[in-house]
Amino acid sequence: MKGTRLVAVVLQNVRRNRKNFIFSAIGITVGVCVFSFFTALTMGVRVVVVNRIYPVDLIEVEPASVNIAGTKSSIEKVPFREEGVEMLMEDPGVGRIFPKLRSRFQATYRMGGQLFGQDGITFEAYFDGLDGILLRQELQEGEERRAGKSVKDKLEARYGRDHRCYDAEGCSPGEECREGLCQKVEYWSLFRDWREYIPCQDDTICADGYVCRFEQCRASCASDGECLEEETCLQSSCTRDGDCGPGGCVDGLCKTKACFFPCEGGCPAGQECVPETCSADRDCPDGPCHEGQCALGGTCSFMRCVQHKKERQVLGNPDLIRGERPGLCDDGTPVPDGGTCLLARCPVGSYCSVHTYFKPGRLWRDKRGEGRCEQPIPVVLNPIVMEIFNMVLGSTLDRAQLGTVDTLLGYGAYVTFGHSFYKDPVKDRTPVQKHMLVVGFSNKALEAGVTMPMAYVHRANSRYKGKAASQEYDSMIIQLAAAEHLPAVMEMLERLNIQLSRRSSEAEKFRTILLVAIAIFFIMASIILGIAAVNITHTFLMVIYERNKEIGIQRALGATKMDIRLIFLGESVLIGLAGGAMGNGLAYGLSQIADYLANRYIGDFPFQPETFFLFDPLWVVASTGFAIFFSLVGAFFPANRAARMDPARTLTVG
Amino acid sequence: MIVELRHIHKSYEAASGVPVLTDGNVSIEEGEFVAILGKSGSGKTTLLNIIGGLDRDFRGEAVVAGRNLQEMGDRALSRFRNETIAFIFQTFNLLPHLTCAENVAFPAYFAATAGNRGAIAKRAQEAMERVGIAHKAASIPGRLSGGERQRVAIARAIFQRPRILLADEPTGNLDSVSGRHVLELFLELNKQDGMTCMLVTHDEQLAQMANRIVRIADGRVVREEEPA
Repeated sequence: MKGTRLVAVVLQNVRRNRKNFIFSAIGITVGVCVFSFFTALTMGVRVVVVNRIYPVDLIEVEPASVNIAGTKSSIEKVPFREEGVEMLMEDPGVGRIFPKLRSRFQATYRMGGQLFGQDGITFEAYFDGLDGILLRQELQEGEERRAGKSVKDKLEARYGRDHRCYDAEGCSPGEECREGLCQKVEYWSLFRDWREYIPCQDDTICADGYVCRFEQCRASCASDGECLEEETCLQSSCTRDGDCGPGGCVDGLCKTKACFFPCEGGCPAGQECVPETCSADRDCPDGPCHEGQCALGGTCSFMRCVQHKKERQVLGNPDLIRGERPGLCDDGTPVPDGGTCLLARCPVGSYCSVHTYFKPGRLWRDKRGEGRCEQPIPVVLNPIVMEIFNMVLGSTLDRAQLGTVDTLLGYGAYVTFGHSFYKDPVKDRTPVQKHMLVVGFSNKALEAGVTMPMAYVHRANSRYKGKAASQEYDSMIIQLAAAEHLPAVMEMLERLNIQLSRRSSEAEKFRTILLVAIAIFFIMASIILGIAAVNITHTFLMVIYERNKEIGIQRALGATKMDIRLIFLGESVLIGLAGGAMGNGLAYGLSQIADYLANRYIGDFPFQPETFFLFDPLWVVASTGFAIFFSLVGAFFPANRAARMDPARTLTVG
Repeated sequence: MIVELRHIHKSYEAASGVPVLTDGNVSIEEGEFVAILGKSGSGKTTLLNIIGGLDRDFRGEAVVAGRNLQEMGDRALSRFRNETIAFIFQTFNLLPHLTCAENVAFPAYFAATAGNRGAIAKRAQEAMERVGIAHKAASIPGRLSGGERQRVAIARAIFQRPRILLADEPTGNLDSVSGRHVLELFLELNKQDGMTCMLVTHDEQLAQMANRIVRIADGRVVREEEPA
C-alpha cells in the first residue's frame, strides 16, 4: 500500500471516528502538556540561571587550602600567577583564562546625594579586577536587552533630523554623539582600561610591566600588540639612563619601549597633544625641530585642569560635568598658537582628577583644585547590590527603592585609594581620589563591592602595596574550549589540587538539581503518557471490534496484513501528532499565563528574565515524537490483532 | 483449468474433528459459469473462501489461475485477491462511510499499480455505468435500495477487471426482480467479458441459469451436472 493511499485511508477513518480519536488524544495532550510545560520552565530557568549566573562554559577556580593550626596554607600544585595561567592553558580543554585580582589595600567609596541624601555616604571599599573581554559582551547584551528597541531607532523616530549632532556638546546629559546622532551612551563599551594618570619620578611606583616615562607610569611593551588599541609602542627620547629605567638610555633613546598615544587622529577626551621636545632636527622622527619642539608628531598626555566649584557640586553624576568645547580655553578664548590652555575644564566624558594629600585624620584636596583630566574608572556592579539597597539600605535610610538596575547605569561615585576607616593610610603613599562610573551589571562582579578592569587593580595594588601584591591572583575564571570538556577539565583541576570557587560549586549543584527536576518531569510525563497509551489500547480494541467486518472486506479486496497493521498504526500516529501539537500549544498558552501572573504579582528582581520559559524547537519536536511513540505503543497490540484476524471468518460470521 | 481443487479437507474446530469439507475435488474451466448448490452449512461458502484465497487453513491442493494458493505468502495472496478474484456477498459488504464511487474504487488503495486519481475515478465511473448505477455515484450506500447496493458491490468487484467472480448468495437479500437483474448482470459479464463466475446458492432455480451445477452436501461434492 502506497504512502499517499495509506494516509487517505487513515484520514477517512479518523474523520468518521472523531469521538474516539479526540478521547484518545486527550490523555496524550495532558502528558505532552505536562512534559512540555515543565521542560520549558526548567530550560528557561536554566538559561537564566546557568547561562547568565552560572555559564556552563565558565568555571571559577581558586587555590585549595588546608587549615593547619588556624593557619591557612595553599596546597595547589599550580601557582595562581602568570606562569600558572600559562601552565593551565596547555590543557586542550581550556580556551581562555581570566585571572581575578582583588584589591590588597584600603580604600573607601563615597556615593553622592542622589541615592543617600545631600551629603552622600562614605564606606569601606572592596573591589576586584577582571579582563574586559570576559564582561563586555555580557554587559552589551544586558544593556541592549533592557533598552529593547535600538536607541538610535527610537531617537530617529522621535526627533528625526533635529536630533543630529556634531559632537557631544550638542547632546543632552547621558547621551553622546554617534553616527551623527545624539544617542544614549553605550556604557558597556566603556568597560576597558583608560589609563589613569599616575605621576612618577622613577619606575618604583609603577606596577609590573609599567615604566616611568615623562613623569608618568606607562605600559612597557615590545610591540604595538601589547598596548591599548589606540596606543603605539615607541622608544622615547632620553638624555640619561635615569630617564629610562631598565635598559637605560642608548643613543638618546630609551632601550625599553613604552606605550604612547600618538596624536594622529586626535586625542581621547581629557588628553591633549604634547609635541615632542627636541634639540635638533634629528631628534624628531617626522619633520624639523622648531624652538625645542618637533613640528610634527607628538603624543597625547593627560590635560591639566582645575576643578571648579560648580563641578564639585555635581560630582556623583558625571553626566552633568560639562566642559568647554575642545579648541577653546576655559574662559572661551581660543587656544594660543602652539600653546595649551592651562587649568581648563575637562571635556565631556572626562573629569578633573585632583591631586590629594593626607594630613592625619583627613584627606585633603589640592587647594587650587588642580589635577589632570581622566576618564572615570568604569565599574560593574553585581545585581545583588540592588537587592541590598532595596531591602536594607533603602529602607534604613528612608530612601525610595531603585526599581531596576538601569537606575544605577551611568551613576558616578568616588573611590579613594589608600584611605580607610579602620587603618592608617599606606605609608609613603598619598591617597588618590578617583571617579568611578557604573557601566553595567554582571553576576561575575564582586557581590560586596565593584569590579573594574584588571589593569586598574593591577596598577593600584602595585602603587599601594608593592609589585608583589599584584602578581598573585585570587582566582581564575576558566573559559572552556567547549562545554563538553567540562568533565576532563574538572578532573585536571582535581589532580592539581585546584578547587572550584563557591559560585562554581553552586553552579554544579544547581545543574544537578535541574537535571533531577527534568528527570522527575520526564518520569511524570511518562506515567501520564503510559496511562494514555493504555487508554489508546482500550479504544483501539473497541474500534477493531466495531470494524471487524470492514477489516475482512479490506482483506478480501487485497489488503495485506501489513496494510491493516499500518492503517491502525497510522491512526495512532495521527493521535500522537494531534496530542503532541495540542499538548505543546496548551503548554505554551499556560506559560504565557504564568509569565503574565509572574510579571504582575512578583515584581522586579535581579536577573529577571523576559520569560521563565524556553520552548526549544528541538524539545517541542522531541515531545511530539514522545507522544507519537506512546500512541504507537498503545496501538501496537490492537493493530497486530487486527492484522491477524481471519478474513473468511469475519466476513462469514460478521 | 482456472480452478483446480484436489482432496480439499477443512474443519473449523480441529479438536472436535467435525469437517466442513471432506475430500473436495472441483475443476472449473476458464469462462465457465458454475453454480455451487447445497443447503446451509453444507460447505459452499467455505469452498468459495478457499478458491478466493481468504481461507488458507485447509488440507489438499488448491490451484487457482495457475497459482498454488498454499504456497503463496500473505503479500502475494493479497495481490492475487486484488487482481484476480472478485467477491460478491449476500450482505453487499459496502463501506458505509464512503460514497458509491469511493466504494467502487476502494480496491485501488491496495493495488500494486492503480494509476493516478483521475484514472481511478474514470475506471470507477466505467464500472458503475456497466452495472447501471452511475447516477448514484455520490450517494452513500445507506440511501440505496438492496438491488442498487448489490450493483455497487458488483461494480466494485469488476473494478479491477478480475478473471474470477465469486458470488456468495448474491440475491439472498434481494426481491425477485432485483435478483433477476443481478443474475443477468453475471451472465453478461460471463458471456461478454469471459469472466469465470462461481455462484453459491441454495436456490435450485437460480442454479439452473449456470453452465454447470456442483452439488454439495455435508461437506462433500456429491454430484456435478448440467442444468436441466
